[in-house]
Amino acid sequence: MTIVGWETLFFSASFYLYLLAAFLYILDLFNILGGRGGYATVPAYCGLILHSVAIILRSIEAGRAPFSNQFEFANVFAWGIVVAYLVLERSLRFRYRAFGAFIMPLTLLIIGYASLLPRDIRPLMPALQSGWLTVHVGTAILAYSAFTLAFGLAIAYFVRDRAEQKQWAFLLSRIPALPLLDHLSHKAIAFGFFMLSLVIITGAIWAEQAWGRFWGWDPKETWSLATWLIYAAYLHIRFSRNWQGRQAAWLSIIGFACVLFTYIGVNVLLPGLHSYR
Amino acid sequence: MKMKDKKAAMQLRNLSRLLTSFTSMQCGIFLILLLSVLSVSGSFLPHAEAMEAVYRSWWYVSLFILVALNLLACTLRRLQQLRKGYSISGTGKNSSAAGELSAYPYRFEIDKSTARPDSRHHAAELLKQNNYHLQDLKLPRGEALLAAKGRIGIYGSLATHLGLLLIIAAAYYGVLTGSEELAQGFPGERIAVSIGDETLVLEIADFNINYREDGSVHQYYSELIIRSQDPESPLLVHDTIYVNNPLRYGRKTFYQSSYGWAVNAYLHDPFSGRTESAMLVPGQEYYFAPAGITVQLLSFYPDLEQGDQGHLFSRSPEPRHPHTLFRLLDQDNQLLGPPAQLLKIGDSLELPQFELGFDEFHNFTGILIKETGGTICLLSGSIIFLAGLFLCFFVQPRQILMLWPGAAKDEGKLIIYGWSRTDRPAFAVEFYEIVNDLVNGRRELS
Ligand code: HEM
Repeated sequence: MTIVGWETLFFSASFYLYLLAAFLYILDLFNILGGRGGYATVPAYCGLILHSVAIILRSIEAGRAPFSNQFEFANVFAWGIVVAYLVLERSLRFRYRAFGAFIMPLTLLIIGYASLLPRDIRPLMPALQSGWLTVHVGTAILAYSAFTLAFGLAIAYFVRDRAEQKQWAFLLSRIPALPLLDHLSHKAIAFGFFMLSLVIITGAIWAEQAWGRFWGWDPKETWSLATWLIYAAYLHIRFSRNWQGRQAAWLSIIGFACVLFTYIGVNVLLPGLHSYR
Repeated sequence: MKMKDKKAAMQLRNLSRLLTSFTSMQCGIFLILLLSVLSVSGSFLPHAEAMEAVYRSWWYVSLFILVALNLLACTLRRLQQLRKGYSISGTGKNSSAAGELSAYPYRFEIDKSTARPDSRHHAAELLKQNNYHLQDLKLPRGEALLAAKGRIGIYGSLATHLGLLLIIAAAYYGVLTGSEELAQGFPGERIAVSIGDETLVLEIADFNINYREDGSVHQYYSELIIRSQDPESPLLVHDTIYVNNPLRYGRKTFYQSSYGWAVNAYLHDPFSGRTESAMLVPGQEYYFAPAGITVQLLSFYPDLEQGDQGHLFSRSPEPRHPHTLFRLLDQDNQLLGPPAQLLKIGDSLELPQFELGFDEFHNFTGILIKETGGTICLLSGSIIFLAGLFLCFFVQPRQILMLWPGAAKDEGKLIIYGWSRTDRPAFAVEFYEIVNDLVNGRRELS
């Protein structure tokens, strides 16, 4: 079998493992696994390993980091989400695995999107032939993964809020308390914001080299600025006495919607308005 | 008189109230969100239209400036508070502030019976190992040891905001003072370029397009020679540029920007034997005065092919089957003949008295030349901004105060206070680990 054949095989296998993990995480959320959430973590890790192998094989085949088209970005984005989630799960000492029920389906969505896209490895057009591509897209993956995690935490925030009002005891033990959710979400967004700032700055430096301007109000640029502003508002809301938790969670959700629009919407819904990407 | 004073005072108070609410966090958040929504609104318009209708409009630019002013005002207003915050978190000069024990969210009491006998020494060693800066204090309530770490993080938001202001200022300066020009030409051509306060002569020594096997473009290379206007002076620079690799000369930068085909159109008069010709790029037109005819070049196909639906395209970039698509207009700009005519390079069209055709074609290169100021400011602003973010997010100012009430060393009980500016849960873990150590001495010191 060719390298590409193996890559496809590993990619598909990781998809099914993530699917299984998502299913088990959801069972765990409803307390059906009897506290054995580890059943969900195992396929998630196995999926991640196979997925990593697929990405490495693709890098070998392409002779560069696999960062240059929609499929490759979606692929690595999904990988980043899983890594971010598993880091979180570990840092909570595996006490709140049910939280995976909020994150793994997002991974599946992104992988599902990736599988709709053309996967052929094509050589880079002249504007993309730059060392900045790796830094720019690499930081974008980190930023987007962190924002996805924060989005999942915001959803968990609202679920937990509702569970507290309705006294759904089974959920209360599965989802961290609101202050902890809020805190984790802040950490994820702070990290994501730092990375997104790097994405925008490296993108501007690259755009100057390739096109002769740092900033050109291209839809992609504009939407990433809007995303960045929304997360800046999020960071400030936490200093404001009148607004907090819920408002912050809403902004996290709106910010993530902007992330998705910057990434997918601009390409799909605003075609013909921009000349590249 | 008194009335007037009162009125003036009231106006002043209103003004200051307005200013206070302008510099409030809520106002800042509102402005940021408004800017975000308005920015995005332009992305649904075609680009050129959006630039005029949104990004260069007075209201958008004003909002941008308003956000910057708000940011500046907020930052200046917080300055005092930041300085205070810095000293609360443990400089020696302001040790009384450390006495405000209620400011510490974490507190733990260790009894003499459970504390290690050498708890004072042990605590100092432990905190030093954790990279805390130590300082002995004499508080009204007794002797204390103040340990602080990451104080510089307090200034993170200041650096972030100042970096951002620098970026905005530099970007506006660049927009206001920058100039640019697009020079298009063929190998061998010399083009006079006036940009900034200087005129240079740009010679295109060579232009190459590097194709891959499948006919797609790998890269464009323009070999440039830059001279001053004086023909006697030696050349200034000689270098090859390509996409992502511009040539920087002084404050000017030369970018490989565009490329394309240019076709030579000619009009021949068989009676007089005279020929007039003009190089045209698709989209350009030329008026042949002797015939009163305008030629509009629509497209050039180096390797013409007709698709299933009748559309025309070029099968490869190689000039195997070169054709032009054009139209003719008369003196009144009325169409002469069909709206689009196809002609093979080398063939000619018979017009009354004249012969019209296209005989040569070349690749031309488009060089964008720019002179922009403020780039150093822009880059320094970015670095300050990123450093500020790093301080905000990854340097956590925190402080531990150990108090031996009653002033006697290693006697009575020991109270430990902990404070951190951000990320309290992570700090709590660290705090209780240290407490645990002091109680049990589980982690042996080397
Ligand atoms: C888009 C522009 C802005 C960005 C990127 C930005 C960035 C930041 C960051 C990263 C922090 C630190 C947050 C944290 O530690 O979690 C911060 C704090 C702060 N910002 Fe901004 N900011 C912006 C605009 C503004 C505006 C317009 C105001 C005015 C209302 C403002 C007022 C503040 C204040 C008062 C703090 C807290 C300062 C402190 O106590 O350290 N910011 N900002």
